[in-house]
Amino acid sequence: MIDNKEILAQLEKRLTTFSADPKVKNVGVVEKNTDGVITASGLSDAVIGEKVIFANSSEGVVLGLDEDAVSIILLDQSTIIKEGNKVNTTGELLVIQAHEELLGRIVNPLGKPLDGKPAVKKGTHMPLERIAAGVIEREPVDTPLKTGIKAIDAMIPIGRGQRELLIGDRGLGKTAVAIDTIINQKTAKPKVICIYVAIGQKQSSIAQIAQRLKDEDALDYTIIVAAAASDPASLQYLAPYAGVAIGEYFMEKGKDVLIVYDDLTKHAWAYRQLSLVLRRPAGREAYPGDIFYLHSRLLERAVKLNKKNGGGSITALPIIETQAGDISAYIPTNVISITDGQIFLEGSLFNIGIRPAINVGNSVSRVGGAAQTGAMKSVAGKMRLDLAQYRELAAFAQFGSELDPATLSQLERGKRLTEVLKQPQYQPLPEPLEIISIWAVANGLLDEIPVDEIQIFEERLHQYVQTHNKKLLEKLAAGEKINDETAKTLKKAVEDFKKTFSK
Amino acid sequence: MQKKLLKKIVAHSFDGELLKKDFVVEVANMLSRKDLKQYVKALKVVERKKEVIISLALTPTKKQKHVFSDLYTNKRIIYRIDKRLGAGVKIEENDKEFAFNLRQILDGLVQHVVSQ
Repeated sequence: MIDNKEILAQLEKRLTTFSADPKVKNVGVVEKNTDGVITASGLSDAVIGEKVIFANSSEGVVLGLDEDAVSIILLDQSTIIKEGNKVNTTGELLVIQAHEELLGRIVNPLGKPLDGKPAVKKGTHMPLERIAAGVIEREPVDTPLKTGIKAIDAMIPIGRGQRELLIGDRGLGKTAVAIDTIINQKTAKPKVICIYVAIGQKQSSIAQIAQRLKDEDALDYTIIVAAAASDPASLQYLAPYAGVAIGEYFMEKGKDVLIVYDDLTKHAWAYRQLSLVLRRPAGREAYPGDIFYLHSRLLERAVKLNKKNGGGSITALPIIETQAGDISAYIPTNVISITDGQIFLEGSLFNIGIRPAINVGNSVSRVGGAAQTGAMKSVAGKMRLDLAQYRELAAFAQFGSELDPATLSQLERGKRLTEVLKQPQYQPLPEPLEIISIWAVANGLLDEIPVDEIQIFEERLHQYVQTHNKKLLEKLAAGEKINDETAKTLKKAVEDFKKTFSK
Repeated sequence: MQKKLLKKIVAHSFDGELLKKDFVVEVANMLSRKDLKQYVKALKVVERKKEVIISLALTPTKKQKHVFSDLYTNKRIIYRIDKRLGAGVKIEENDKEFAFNLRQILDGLVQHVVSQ
């Protein structure tokens, strides 16, 4: 039971900070309400991006300034705004409240909870629009962000502070790669806080993702910012900025943050809708002229800060959905030119069972080896070369001509490499196990194993090493380059297991 | 109708502070329905700029009226009684609203306490 005196004490405490000074408000009157855009007269002091409040307490944001009118986008489509309603400015730009209590929560871009729990009242108001950190405040990316996916960690490594694009047609596993990356941060050192921004997706999909993260114990360090397909275009437009604003809160505290934007294609569509309704001139494919700036200012906020500025980082994994594999379309080329690399998922690979369907030839990480440990670097180089040679030879093999033994063995090695790089969903691997798999296949230790048994072999090899050779795992986890002694230990472990292996 | 042209017509519609009735009627007869709506709206905007609406909870005294007329010498003052204010004043000038009244303070108080 709360004491009366306690209630009074609380009230008194809150009242001491209240100011009864007269207020000067800048007011306007609604002239038109068309397609969710409110045109209001007055509001001469309004600025772009300013939050406004209508007489019925609904909120909007100023997105257009004309000579005698202001264009406002409603943030809540369910309210009824009529001609003649009053609207006034707040003097505030759009902000979102960020705090550690947001971890494990699902919120909308305005910070309102969507998971049925109470709103987070503590924390700092982080502006949705903000200028990215300057050149002096940054330092080069040098710490790996491990996805737990062999193909990525070996050949397209991602570093903390990098922007790596996930691009491909629908249903090829872009979100799956992102979710596996989030799940893999469970064991990351130092810890990585994850933010998943869902833009324009079905609510059922968002719910499934939240449940999967919860089942994998990944929701504890994850925040989901959701603007579903049923939400107004204004919220879908704001969602990524809300996500990165929350990320900046943690980054400024020296933490590492991973943010997934799923997906920026729908974000571009929402912005196109808003711009057309605001009567802005339409450019290529009806997108507004500043569509590039929409994404560049978002992705530039993914940064690795230097020690002087806290040493925190934001790693961005934007997702772009292509149509029929066309990566030369407008939005994909825009985002490819902004990011520090792309992971290209291909339908033809997906259909023949190579999952994740990563086209290693077209994928690149511009950070490269700087984001890999010494151990991974030493095994990945050989594998990449072998795979490249296999891809070239595979085309010849289709002609059915007789091949020499060296070419045949290269083909067989390539098949096994491809098989090893396959990985089930929701099963990210720790780096030591990744290294063991890649080292074993790249050094020909799996050449005798039939291709269709490679995956079972690998699974059991991992179990074997985890049971019988924990020291080897610890050594590999340290990240140092594989020396002769480690190579000997690795070879012995694999050979010993091979003797006991039967399908 | 172009905005520039509309502004010119509106500017010519006034003779000092007063509307030129004959001119306005002549112009109104020449305009289409859509343009007429714009013209009337523009005239209203100009008229509104010349006014100040002062809302009070009680009928203003002579002294109060004197103070307000000194403050707004070039404007037409419209007094409104709004008992919901409780006490104090609300002044609306163009798109600025100055509020210093009991209702505004009480509303602000509740919002302040609740938001914390």
